[in-house]
Amino acid sequence: MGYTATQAGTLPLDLLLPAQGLGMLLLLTGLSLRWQSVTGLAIFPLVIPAALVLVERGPLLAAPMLGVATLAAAELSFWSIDVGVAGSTSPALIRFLGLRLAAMLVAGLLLGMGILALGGVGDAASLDLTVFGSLAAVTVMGLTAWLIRSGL
Amino acid sequence: MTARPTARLLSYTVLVGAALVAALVLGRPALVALAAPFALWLVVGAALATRPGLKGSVGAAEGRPTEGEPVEVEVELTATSRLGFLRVDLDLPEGLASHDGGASRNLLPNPGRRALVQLQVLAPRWGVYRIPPARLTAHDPLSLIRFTGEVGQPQRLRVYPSWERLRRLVPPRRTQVYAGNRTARQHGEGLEFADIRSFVPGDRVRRINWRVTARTGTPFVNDFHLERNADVILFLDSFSELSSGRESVLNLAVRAATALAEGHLRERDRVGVVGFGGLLRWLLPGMGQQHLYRVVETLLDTEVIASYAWRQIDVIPVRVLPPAATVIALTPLLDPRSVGALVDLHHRGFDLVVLEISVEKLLGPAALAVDEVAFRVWTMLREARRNRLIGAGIPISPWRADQPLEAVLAQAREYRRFAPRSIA
Repeated sequence: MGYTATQAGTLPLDLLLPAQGLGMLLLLTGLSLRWQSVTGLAIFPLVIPAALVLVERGPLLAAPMLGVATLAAAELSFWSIDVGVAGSTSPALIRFLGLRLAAMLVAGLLLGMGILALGGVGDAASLDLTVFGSLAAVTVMGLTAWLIRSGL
Repeated sequence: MTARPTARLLSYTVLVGAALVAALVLGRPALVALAAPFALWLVVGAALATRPGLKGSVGAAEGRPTEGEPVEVEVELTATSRLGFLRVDLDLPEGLASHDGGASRNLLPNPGRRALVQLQVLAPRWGVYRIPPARLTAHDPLSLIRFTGEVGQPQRLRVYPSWERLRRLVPPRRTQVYAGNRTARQHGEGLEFADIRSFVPGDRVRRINWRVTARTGTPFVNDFHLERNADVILFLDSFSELSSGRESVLNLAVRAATALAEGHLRERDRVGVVGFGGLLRWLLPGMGQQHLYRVVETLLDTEVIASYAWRQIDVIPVRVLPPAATVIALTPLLDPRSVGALVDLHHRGFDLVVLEISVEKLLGPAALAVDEVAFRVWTMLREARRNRLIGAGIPISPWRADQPLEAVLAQAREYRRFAPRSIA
């Protein structure tokens, strides 16, 4: 919300901030009622205004940071619902979850930086990057669809 | 195990998909960078996800828990694949509660290694409970798929009632042939002095009373009472039930019966049980510490089952009611059938003690508020049943829930001491 408020520029803040407020409300509701789906839904009103500001104003470097921060917030929220219930939790599990999150955040940040670096190459490579990006999008969506459908 | 995608998987997928499409349409790589951590999570998660293999069992810890005591339930688990998260829950049945939130546990099992999860449950009241199989919720390493399933078989948990330790009991009027701690009327080898009599051939020299012998000039010997045990039958009237909050007639009856059984078994008496109600239950008389647990287990199975069949004492097997047994009846006098059975027992020559479980405390003022006339009629009916027992010469001692059982037994002892003996 801070990023949106400070970087909004010409974008209508009176729409963006209430949208993010709604996201916060959804997040709090999901956490207090322990509803995973509501918590998952809360990510969108939180991210979309920030993404709009990012597209409009930048700076580009903020994108991977914002992605990592959103992922951290979402993971901690899901984690608190999964783990933070009556009953004890083994220290090994806490350690594992912490390490898992840290590793994925670092890897995600590096990946985001890499993508930005690739995005900065000349026009000649831009078509290839578009094809590569499309393929990546299809791959990610296909993998996810396979994961959901197979049910393992 | 049943697999379902987590909310994480769905929301990340939508977010990544939307960001990538928007990035392609708008030509903004920043959106790809924004979605990159989420996309990475999905790709790595999909690569690592496998169906978890979990084997295990559920068992209650050894021992005999009493009511109000935490019980440890052990869940043994072995995971055959790597998991990101495992939650073990016990869906406790009515009557059982988790102790300090101990009915669930989050853990990270190592593949191939046995994990022992100890969950704590609490039974506030005695009884037989069913511990269900443990419910498992497992996640793949990046928590994209949630697997749910069960492990183990249902277990029976017997929670024993807590009882008052009785120092003095109602002494049975007649003893049996086995050795015990009770002073029998018959003379023989024992410790309690009974009488002096003339020496007869075969008497031991050590039993000669030298003072009397010296005074009279003829040999006299001391006679002693035999030390014998008695048969005690605990008779539980389970025709009808009345409860208020956590307290109930059956609850009080079972606690009292347990205390009486423990006291009489300590005195080396043989104790049997008859649950006389809609369902007839019995336990043959026996003695010893092991028998106490048999008695308690029979009492745990006692329940009130509504029945309109007219039961008489004939339905009880003969071996359950040995001759010359003392019958201690615990009854709320709510049903005329149990009163009829008690009078019948008395007429058959059994030494009978009736402990009347007072239900006025359980009813409270609410009963009077419902219908005063009906309440008065009901009270009069109970009074009539009580008078029927007293009229037949059966000692009856009322017992209120807040009164120690010891005091009620003292009252019964006094009654038996001064009341005329109707047993030959």
